[in-house]
Amino acid sequence: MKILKYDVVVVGAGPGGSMTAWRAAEGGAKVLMLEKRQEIGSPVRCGEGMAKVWLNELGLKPNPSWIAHEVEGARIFAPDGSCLTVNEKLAGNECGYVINRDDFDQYLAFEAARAGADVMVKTMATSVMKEGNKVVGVKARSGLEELEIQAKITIGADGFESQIGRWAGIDTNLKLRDLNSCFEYVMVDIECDPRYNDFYLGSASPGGYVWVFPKGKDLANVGIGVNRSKMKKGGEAKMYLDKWIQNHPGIDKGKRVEKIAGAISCNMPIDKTVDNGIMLVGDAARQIDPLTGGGIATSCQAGQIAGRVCAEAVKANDFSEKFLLRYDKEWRAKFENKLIRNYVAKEKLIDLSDDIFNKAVKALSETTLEKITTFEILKALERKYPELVKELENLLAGP
Amino acid sequence: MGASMKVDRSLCMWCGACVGFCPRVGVTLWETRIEFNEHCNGCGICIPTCPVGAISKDESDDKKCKAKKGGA
Repeated sequence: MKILKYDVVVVGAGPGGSMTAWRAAEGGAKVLMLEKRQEIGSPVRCGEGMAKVWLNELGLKPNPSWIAHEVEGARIFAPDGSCLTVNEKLAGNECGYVINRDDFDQYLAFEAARAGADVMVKTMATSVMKEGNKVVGVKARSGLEELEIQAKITIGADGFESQIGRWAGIDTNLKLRDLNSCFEYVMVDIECDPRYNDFYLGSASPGGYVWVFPKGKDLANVGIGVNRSKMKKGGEAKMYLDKWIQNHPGIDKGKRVEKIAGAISCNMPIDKTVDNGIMLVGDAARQIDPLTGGGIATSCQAGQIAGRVCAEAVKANDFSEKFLLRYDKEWRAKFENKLIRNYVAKEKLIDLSDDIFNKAVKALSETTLEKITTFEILKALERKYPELVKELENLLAGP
Repeated sequence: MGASMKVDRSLCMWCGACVGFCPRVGVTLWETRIEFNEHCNGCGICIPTCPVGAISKDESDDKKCKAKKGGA
């Protein structure tokens, strides 16, 4: 057993992990980041749609190395084909780039390394080490070597699997309704509108949606999320997507050049993301937007805060839950309200009928909206279809 | 010892959906290999969770368990 000593060990080199490692190293902490795969960012597990407004705030410059395509807006399709077009101004921070996630993840990890973080790939954390009630690092396997990595702070950035937190005793378990099972093809030689990210709602994708995110004029990520509460047997995510593609000839004529599977959490924010000597970041902390399934922005924002708090904790030589709660408070101040609001919306949307989707999208497409927020949408709907809004009143009431 | 579930390696896409949704952390993804551990109680919640249908109950093992229990 080889022993390594660090201030911070980050488990997982996705956007949340790398952002944490980057900011912690920048702040003077001695950081090691582990990635269980042999290649950072690959294989991709993502629809790759990303908003752009938040990048600047984190000091990230849009970079041609990871931007595949830029869209003007989004279109939301009801089951009957009616369509609501949302331009960028209206969508606010909800659309922007379609990225190459593998390149994006590598970019962030390389920046973390350049800032001083050590990186080990093909290295898997196998357990969390505890002394009394505090986490003091992880055990890991790297090739044939067993490692004991002693660290003052352990960062669980291990993505959807979220094992580090649960091994440490933090509850990140999900309910049936709080999980979407996903499948996606990268498709080429299709007919798509490269100006828009498209979202298709309704019973063809129970409790979720189908997305077509263009990466070029005839190239797009075509994927589906299906709510776990609607699933009876294995393989349904892929089955629903195959059926949907069959019913869309412009897509169906294309070729499937890549397959991607995955799962996305869509839960209420969890109660606790820190404990003595440990913080959870990104997907591992279930910090995903429950309505859109987007998690890149929130993971990076959380990582930015977590990394800074790591550096502060090292300076203060205090790794207690009480100190690390700074991170918990800050990420909640930043985006928890939005997650809660969108969770309430998701809860309602899961069970809406195709008829309601048709009416709602039609009504909205005939209305001029100031901004696309849940509240604006409901106000507009209320004017047109008061009875519809009754169905949606949970949404209107908000959290 | 978690041997009541099996993964079809030709279908599995190593996505980790089963891992993150297992309430007992009874399954782990080792880069490209799904492995059920001693915490797995064979509840099967992972079966419909799998986007590609790669997980099933190992019936032969089920019988073995029952036989063992019957014998005990």
